[in-house]
Amino acid sequence: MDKESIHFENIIIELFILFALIGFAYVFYKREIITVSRVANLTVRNLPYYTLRSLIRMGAAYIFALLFSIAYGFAAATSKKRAAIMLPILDIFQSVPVLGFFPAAIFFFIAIVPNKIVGVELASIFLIFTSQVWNMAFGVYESLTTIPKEIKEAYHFFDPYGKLAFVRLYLPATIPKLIYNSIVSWSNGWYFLVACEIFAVGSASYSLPGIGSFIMESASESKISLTLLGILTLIVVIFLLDLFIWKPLSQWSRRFRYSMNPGEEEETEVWGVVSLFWEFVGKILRSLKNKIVKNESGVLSFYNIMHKIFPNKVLYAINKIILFATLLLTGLLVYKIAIVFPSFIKTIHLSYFLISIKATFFSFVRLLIAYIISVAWTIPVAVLMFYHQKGARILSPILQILASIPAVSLFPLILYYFIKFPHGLDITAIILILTGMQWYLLFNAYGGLKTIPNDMKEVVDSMGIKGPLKFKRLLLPASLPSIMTGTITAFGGGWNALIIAEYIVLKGKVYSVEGIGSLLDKSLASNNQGLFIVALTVMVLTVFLINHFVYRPLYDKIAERFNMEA
Amino acid sequence: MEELLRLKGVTQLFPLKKKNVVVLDKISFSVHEGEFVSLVGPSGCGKSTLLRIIAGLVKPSSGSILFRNKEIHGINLHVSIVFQTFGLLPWLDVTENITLGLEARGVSLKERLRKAFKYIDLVGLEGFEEAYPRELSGGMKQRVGIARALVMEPELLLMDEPFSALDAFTAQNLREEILRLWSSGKLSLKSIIMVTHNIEEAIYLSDRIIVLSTHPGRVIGDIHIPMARPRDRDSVEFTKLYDKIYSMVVMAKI
Repeated sequence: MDKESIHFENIIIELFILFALIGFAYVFYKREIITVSRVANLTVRNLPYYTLRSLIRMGAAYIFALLFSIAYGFAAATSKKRAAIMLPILDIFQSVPVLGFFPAAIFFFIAIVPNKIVGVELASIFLIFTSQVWNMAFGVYESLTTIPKEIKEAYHFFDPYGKLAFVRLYLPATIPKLIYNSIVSWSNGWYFLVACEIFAVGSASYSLPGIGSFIMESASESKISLTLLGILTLIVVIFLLDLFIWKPLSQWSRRFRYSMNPGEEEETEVWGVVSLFWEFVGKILRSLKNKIVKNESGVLSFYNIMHKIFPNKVLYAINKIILFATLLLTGLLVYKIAIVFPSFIKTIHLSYFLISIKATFFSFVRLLIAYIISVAWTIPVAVLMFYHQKGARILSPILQILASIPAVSLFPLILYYFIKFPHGLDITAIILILTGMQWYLLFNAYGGLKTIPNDMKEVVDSMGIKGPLKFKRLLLPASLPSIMTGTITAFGGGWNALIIAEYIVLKGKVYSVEGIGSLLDKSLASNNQGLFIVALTVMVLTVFLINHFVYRPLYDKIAERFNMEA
Repeated sequence: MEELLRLKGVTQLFPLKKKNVVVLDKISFSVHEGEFVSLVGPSGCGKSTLLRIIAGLVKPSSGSILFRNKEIHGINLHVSIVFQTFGLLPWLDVTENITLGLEARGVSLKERLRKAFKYIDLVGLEGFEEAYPRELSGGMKQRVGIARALVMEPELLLMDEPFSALDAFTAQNLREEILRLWSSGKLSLKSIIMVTHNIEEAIYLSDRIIVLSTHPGRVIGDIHIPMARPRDRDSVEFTKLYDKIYSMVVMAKI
């Protein structure tokens, strides 16, 4: 099959998935109106408790995401047939603003879980999970499909039946990307965690107590010292987790890489205290392992374990059952959509589409403004950092800490100061989008500059090329592919930010600006199901179309023209 | 000497733009016990593919492989292979890399370590038992590759351009090492088949050189090297053989 028809097929599959998603949102749309931004007790004493609640949500979501992404990536990488359907699914979930589906997710989990508090908790964990998992699953898929040919061949020769393949080849091969993407996913998760907690529609029914709702609630009560304390706590928690978990993990993951390209990634330094901590943990784990596990060869063999529990036939049956269940659920969803479709048609008007398209346009302008501001400051700073390596070494950790603050947690604070101005919410929305966008651009641009091969720099310098000409002929072209990657990620984050930023309830008073995010929230608040679904469809389709017809062709062109390996 | 391996009409097709390109065309030859055979030919003649077919890593489009008169399907458990770019797993240390094949066959840890240390000793890797591949030089990495192949105690060793990823000095060192091991009698090894594009290396090491042509790959020469070891590269006999094989390979390209 040629590339064109594969591309076309992908579009069809992706559109189908999109409509299934919207159908899902429609089927589970309920009359109930919700809000999730409430904490019962707004005191410093309760802050640790709320932080813990948030951390548990994050941890649970991450563990699910980790297991799911390994299974998903593995399944997609080991069969071309599966990949043909699983990759488009991955693509859609990575690009669609999932926050728009949060209400539907809440309704869904409330529908299937009898306890409503548990239902809301599960919905938030599910949302954080969706924000983390696809990036990781793609990392797993990518690492499994890019194992060097000779390593794969050698492995296959020495283990022809693949008895140890999972623990000895596949799992280790995924580790560098899995850890790297986990770090990205984890900070993404913080964003969505806070977003879930401060996501508010209408009057109070359910609440998600946590650090995010603490920040939001204290800001709306005008207790700014508590808001600041909340944000500070969040930063400290994120910083400590990075120091004690992610930095050591990313250093550990280096040993699983095939080769070390100099300058590809900065050395992550692990503090002495941290390595002592891990040595201690390692000692405990080893002694536990030695106590439990006497027979070493039995343990390592995933294959043996799997086959002891599940003989081949059972595995085959499980495989078929999963396939069958997926088909059944898809069928059920299609059936349900088909049933409610006539009544859905009756509830929508043509004007809904016009309203939605207009709202999307307004939102898009906001995104564009934020993007232009981001580019205007990040590219010069990246170039400056590139020229002044010493300064960059001091600046870069500071920027990284700043970037690790989930932008939404600052939202209540920004809101508090700007809401009084005319167009206050407009400014807040743009600032929020900006804080979400700029870091992707900065770090991608800087990363792109750093990978310029030394000999290229030397050639340009030896010819006395500098200043604007050097920027135009070397720096810009060399970093353009990474800037493009940053752009795509930044817009992805921006769409999600809109949904929280354009519509806000403070002490029962609604503030909103015209845009697709506020349209979604308004239609929910006024229980206009038809409008909600139309708005969701228009937003999702807009993102989809931009991805397929703007980003992807542009990215391909840039990658082809400016690739270093050419 | 007894026949170890026989190839009967091995043909390999490769689909390219709706057409099948013949990579290997009815290759037939046998290898006997005690022989060190080199496969030489211009790049793209399918010699590496042929080696993979012998190992059982690649299934030929047609034709068969007989090992001690028995047809082989799938991985041939009596042979072992050394790869050009080593194919070591970066997350396993030297010992773990070497014993991977034994582990997959369910050999106990004690037995694995005993065998590993024997071959670590033989190939000169003492002191590097717990090193990771990235900490080793190219030459040391290939020693691991060789030990990993030998630890399976094969009757036939396959080597796919084993010295071409190394610098000239290291490569020569390892060649001597291979010859030393080959003639030491400490190995279970009966024969060696090596793929190379380095004619000098082939003459220096092997008892027999099989020359392949390209497009399609056919056997165009089967030359015995009667010289005693160690061989002198500057001898008249060596140079004559070199010129003969060199012109065959150049002709094979056209």
